[in-house]
Amino acid sequence: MTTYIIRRLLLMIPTLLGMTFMLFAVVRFAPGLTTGGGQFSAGIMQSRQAQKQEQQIMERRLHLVDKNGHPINLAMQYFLWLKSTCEGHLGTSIVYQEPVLTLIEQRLPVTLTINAIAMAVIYLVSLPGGLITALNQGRLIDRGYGFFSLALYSLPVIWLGSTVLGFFANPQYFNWFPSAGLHSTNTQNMTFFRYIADYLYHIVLPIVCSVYGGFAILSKQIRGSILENLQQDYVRTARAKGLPESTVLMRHVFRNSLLNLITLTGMSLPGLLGGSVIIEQIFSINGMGRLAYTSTLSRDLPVIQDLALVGSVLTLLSYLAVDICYHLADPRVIYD
Amino acid sequence: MDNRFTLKDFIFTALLLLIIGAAFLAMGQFNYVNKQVIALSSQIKTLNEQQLAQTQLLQQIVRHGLRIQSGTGQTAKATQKDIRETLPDGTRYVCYPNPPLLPHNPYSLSDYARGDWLVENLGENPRTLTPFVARDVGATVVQGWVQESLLSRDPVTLKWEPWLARSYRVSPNGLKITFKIRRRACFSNGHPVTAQDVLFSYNTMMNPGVDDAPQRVYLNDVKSCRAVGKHTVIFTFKHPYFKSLEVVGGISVLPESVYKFKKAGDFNKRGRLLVGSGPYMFDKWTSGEIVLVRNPRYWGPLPTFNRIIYRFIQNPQAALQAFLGGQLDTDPPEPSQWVKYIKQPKFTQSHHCYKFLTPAAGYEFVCWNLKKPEFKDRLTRTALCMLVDRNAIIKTFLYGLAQPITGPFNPLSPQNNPKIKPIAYDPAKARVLLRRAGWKMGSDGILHRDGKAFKFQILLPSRDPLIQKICVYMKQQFAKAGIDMSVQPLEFSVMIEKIDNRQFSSFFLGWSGGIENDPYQIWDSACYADKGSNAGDFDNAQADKLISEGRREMNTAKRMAIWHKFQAIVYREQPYMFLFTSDALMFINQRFHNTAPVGKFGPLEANWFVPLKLQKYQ
Repeated sequence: MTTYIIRRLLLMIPTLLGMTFMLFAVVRFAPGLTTGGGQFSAGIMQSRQAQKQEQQIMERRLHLVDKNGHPINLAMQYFLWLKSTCEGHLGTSIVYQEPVLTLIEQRLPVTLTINAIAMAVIYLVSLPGGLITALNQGRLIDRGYGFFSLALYSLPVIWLGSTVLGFFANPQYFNWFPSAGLHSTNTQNMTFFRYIADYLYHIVLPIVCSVYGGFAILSKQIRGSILENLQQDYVRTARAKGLPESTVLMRHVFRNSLLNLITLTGMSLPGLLGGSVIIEQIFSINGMGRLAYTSTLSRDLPVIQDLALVGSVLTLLSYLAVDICYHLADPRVIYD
Repeated sequence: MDNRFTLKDFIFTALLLLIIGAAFLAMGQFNYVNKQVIALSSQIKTLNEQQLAQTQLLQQIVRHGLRIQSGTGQTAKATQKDIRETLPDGTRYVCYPNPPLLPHNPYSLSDYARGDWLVENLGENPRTLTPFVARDVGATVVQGWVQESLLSRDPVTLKWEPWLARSYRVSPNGLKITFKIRRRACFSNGHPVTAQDVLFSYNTMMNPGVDDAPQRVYLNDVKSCRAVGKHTVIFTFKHPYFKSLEVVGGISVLPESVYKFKKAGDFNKRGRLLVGSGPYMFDKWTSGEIVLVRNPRYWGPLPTFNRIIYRFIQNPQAALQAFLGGQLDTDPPEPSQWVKYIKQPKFTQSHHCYKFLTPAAGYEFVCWNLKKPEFKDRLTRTALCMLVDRNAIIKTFLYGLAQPITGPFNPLSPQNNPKIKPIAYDPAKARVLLRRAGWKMGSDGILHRDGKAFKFQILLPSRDPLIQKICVYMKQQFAKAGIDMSVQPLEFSVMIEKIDNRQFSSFFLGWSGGIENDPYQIWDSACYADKGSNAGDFDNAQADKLISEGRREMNTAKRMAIWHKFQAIVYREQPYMFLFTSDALMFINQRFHNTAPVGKFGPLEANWFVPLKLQKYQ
């Protein structure tokens, strides 16, 4: 197993190089240079001299030109970026004037908390949901659950987000929830638990929007693998042994069915950190999704590149983790 | 070995999770309590400082005797009068012994009370708050409360009046401006505002390493800045320029003691450092809000609100709902929201609703590329303008909340020539003009001239649905007259690149406004080359001459006459299709009083207050 892990880790290097180079090239070939802060938001042009000076600074900072102003070719640009990244310097945002790491540090906790809670809710609903529908295959409850979870899955989040915002955070209809942000304005006088409650109250709508589409896939997966396992020989054996049905189900079938979940969970880990652009935009949450979105629009290349780098590393690592977990959960799975 | 997961295991796991959860909660609580302790100690520190300031004041009174102060912090000496005069040698001298009070100032109103908070929306989270470096509107708003400049603009007369400066003196040729700084002006850290601080601020702006290129350009004409003694600053200029006073008088004065830097890069990166002499102090900036607190040492009238809080809600619907729910105190609604709510008597009775036009508002336009054969003649351009019913655009797409414009100047600005009337919508006359310009209807239903069909493309920013709607309307209007316009929405940075490289026939954009604009950047023929802002290549010798004359003319009345002539030329030539300038809209919570718009600037927050009975926050 150790050799396997080492081999996988080494293989990761060329994969990462390939991924980052692709991304680097795509970003560099995209038309339009970083437009700075105000110009972009105000939608206006700048004076000629200012524009020129700005462009020169950008080009130097992005290693597009060398000290003498001569253009550098793409491969060299990539090499320079790689070098500084390997030395441990993630870039500095052009727009925010802050290191990318600081930006991530500020936004990650926000996104992570919301997504972790959302994921917990999805599992809490989908696991029993999948089990119940599998046991009642073909009955009304199975069809009903399938119908509703698929219906929810097909609702676009941008529509549902605006709708719940328009109805449940609107004094003209139901003023049940706040419409934006993660905290009230006067948190300073709150006790700690009041503060937590205030936070939870603020994230209800974003969580609702993050979870509703997740039920369908997960519960269908579990339902499918439970049904598959029920056909297996070992189930027949267990039943023949005279084990009670609940033991057969919970101890044998359900546990075996959970194996599939390892893949699903592992793959959703990078998404946990990525955050949802749409939800964060609708509910005015300053998370990772919005960072990626605004950086893309303002062509903040260092941020785009480093976010993608972090994303790629996490994806590769979580795939490795999935493989290892498989081995741990099911010793029959052996990698050579 | 028993491999099963038994009840015992379950209880054990549950307990473990419980303990971990409790530990996390405890950690959070410690952290939270710690933050509160820090906040408390900073409050105690502020109180101590206030006490110290009071002690100093008492000592001063003991030493120099008592000067009676009115409730506004203004000295009640009637002998010191404001001076605004032109000396026999042509020097302009303006002296205000006391900072000018805003018109409609609330201090003498019977129900005036200090206290409460003002919670507003900034839309986008600012990228940085560093003075000079920050460029978004939000950062400018926040800085406006914390930092001040030597002069400030009067909202009614639109003239520059002494603020941190007690007086200013402009030499007859306009090449030398002398400021005398108010002796009692001080920064929030207690240090007095000195000439050295002004010099430091100027040098910072001019430092090529500081990331403020767009603002530095305006200072290129400054020859030198000198501090004479503690309270006098002298700026000299290379050429006479009508904006000289505004350019140097508008520099935010930073305390050198706080902002001193060795490497310019350090200055750029201190995005959370904001200290100045203004009525409010920067307190904190979290992921959801920026908090400003009252500056207890403010040298002018003590500000009204205990705190000003800016939240970041971009979604206009969410912002309006937050306003309706009381989480925001003001909201600038979208035109569609305005027309919906303004019709509801229940809403208008319980909120202040204001619609106003400010002279600083920008305008929307279509720029024609005059290098293209189809746009090279004035008749065609005028005809295109006649084909578009701007009043209909304003009524349909903007709900009537905009004003048509006749040229590059805001209708409220003194620069605007009031004699010029907008070109009326007249498709019949447009057809006549097109015929006179040599366009003939072809068999394909499209106009032709010199064997070429009248087809062109218009570029527009893809993120703006309003502009897209207007372009589709224009396309239909042009099609009726036999002109084929195709609409090409582009991402903003891509569009700018195309404009810079002159790869366009026409484009739709907006220019931001200013009370008195310098037309040089957009209209001088020298600004076509080198990716300049005169993208359409407007090249008129007479206009160039007027621009250079106007820029050198220091006498306001004479200069306005020049701008009026210039505008008449632009109007005749129609290098742009000038469309409209939008009204500003504002909803304000009813608990605020004295919110009516002041002069030409709209509602000014500095005038607002909440009577004691209605105060919401402590």
